[in-house]
Amino acid sequence: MIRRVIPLVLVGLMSMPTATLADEGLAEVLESAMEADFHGSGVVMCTWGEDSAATTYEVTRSDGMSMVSGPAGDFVLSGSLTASQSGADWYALEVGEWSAWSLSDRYSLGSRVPTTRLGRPATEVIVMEGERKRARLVIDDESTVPLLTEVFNADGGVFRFAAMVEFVAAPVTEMEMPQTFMEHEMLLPVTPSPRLPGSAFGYSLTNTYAMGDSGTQAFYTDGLFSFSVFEAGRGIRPAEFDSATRFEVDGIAYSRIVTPSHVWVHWSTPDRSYMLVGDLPPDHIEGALRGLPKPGFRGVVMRFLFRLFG
Amino acid sequence: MTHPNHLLSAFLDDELSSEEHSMVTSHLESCATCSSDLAGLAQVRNWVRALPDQEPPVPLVPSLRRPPRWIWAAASAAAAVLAIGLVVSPAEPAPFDLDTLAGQHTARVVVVPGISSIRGPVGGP
Amino acid sequence: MPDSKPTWEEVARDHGRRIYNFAYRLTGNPDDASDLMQEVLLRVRRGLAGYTPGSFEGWLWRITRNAFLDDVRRRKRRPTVAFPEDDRTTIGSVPDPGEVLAESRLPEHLQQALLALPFDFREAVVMCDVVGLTYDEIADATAVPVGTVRSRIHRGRKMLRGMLE
Repeated sequence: MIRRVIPLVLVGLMSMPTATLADEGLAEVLESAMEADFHGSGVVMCTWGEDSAATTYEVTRSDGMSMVSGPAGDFVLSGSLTASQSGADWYALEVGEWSAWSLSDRYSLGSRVPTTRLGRPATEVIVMEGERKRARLVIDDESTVPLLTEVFNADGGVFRFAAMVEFVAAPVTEMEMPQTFMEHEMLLPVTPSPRLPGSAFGYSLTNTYAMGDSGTQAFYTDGLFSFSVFEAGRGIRPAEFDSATRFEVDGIAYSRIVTPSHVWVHWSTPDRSYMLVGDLPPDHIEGALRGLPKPGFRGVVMRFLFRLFG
Repeated sequence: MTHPNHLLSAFLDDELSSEEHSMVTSHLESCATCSSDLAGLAQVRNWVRALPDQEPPVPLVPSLRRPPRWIWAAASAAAAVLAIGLVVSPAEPAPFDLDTLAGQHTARVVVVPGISSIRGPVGGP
Repeated sequence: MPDSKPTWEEVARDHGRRIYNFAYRLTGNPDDASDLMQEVLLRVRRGLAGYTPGSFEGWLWRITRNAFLDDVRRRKRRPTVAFPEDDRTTIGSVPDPGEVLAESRLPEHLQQALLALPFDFREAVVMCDVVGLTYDEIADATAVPVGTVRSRIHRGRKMLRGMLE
């Protein structure tokens, strides 16, 4: 019985036409990239002004599970669960609920050019944001995995560069999820903070989760890029920001740290502390910050004076 | 004229827009190939729908004797607003631990497509 | 769809059967289905504490499929191709009385053919035809666009047809 079914499956698979990139929009490209099995190692680098950071990493994806090794350690991902290891113990973080993905209509695919990369047939696609070139992807034809990703900043310079230096499609790798976890945390939706907007610069507030005992994580995305705004009590600043680069948006000061995959921005308002982390380019970060609560202590001083004098 | 083969399943499930639905309906009136495909799909659909409904075991209520090795991120209402008075209270003890924040952010990023989703939780703080 | 939060006993009572059948058709055997259903109800019980009213069906089926995926990964295996006795009998209930079946007997290997489908296709077909979710509900539960749901259901049915003819 089983023997009769399997050959038919193979025949069915082989006679199905593979979708070509010419048929697909950006949404299909991004979705397709999530599905194929592959193994690769690569380099990722991010630059904003004088700040630059780079690292190497390794990824294996097989049958829906992924293993990633990078400077933050080793991770195993399966579905909505991310597991990491510390010593002999595994720790899991699972996203309990999330809103459906959709891609902002500000993006579209521009030109598509056949090319090769790492000796493999590939297609170079340009992601347009309106009239502006926002990203360049070189996509492996066989697996539909991007072998190269470049994100451009507003003046056309490269903000982030990620490229595979080794790549194997459909590796024969068996991966196993750890059986037990020392801790298994769930991210579940909580009431959004009233101080954070429903959208900022074309990014929608898609989910809000709890952070620690009294903070929240507001997750914003436009379908291509994303960022989280963590809100906590007043006066909180991690030590890493002691020597962070200060920058201004509309004359208001923020601090930033650039890492290979993300930019971190920290600021405080009179009542709260904020941390933004995401993969969006600098002009988008500046635009988003304009829509978020603004830093500054002038409000505190004015209220204090008002309380003293009237 | 191209055959709307890829719409036939949605047509069967009544999941097409009214425009698509009319288009397929009129196409089927004159296309034997697509009508035949539709019949084949309908048959498969009926077979799956006719799979016998299974009785779940009783009781449905699971045993609660599992060891409690799960902890949950606490649900939180908005944090209390500290009044700015003449005496400034010390800062709350909850720090921004960048590893933890990176973990929570990336965990959410990778569940859906996006430009960083394939790479996964690569870079740390 | 109720706006208020259900109790988990209500979830177990009103939806347990559908969860079980979803698990049964995805895994092909009653023991796995039973384990999976227990797991789902446990997660529902814990998850309800933080649940904010929204799309209940989407929330429930996301938990269900997460539990299924985690279980498959943990056990590092394909759902087994057990051949359940009951599928050999002539049809029981037909959910849609208006439709006329060309044949009066289900194909012998329908469950196995389902198990031979790629997971995404199998899940979409089971959610549509066994559980009875709309395309929008499936899109919500699997976090993909409706177009992808459409495509997966169509390709899944075509593959089934190819295997069973």
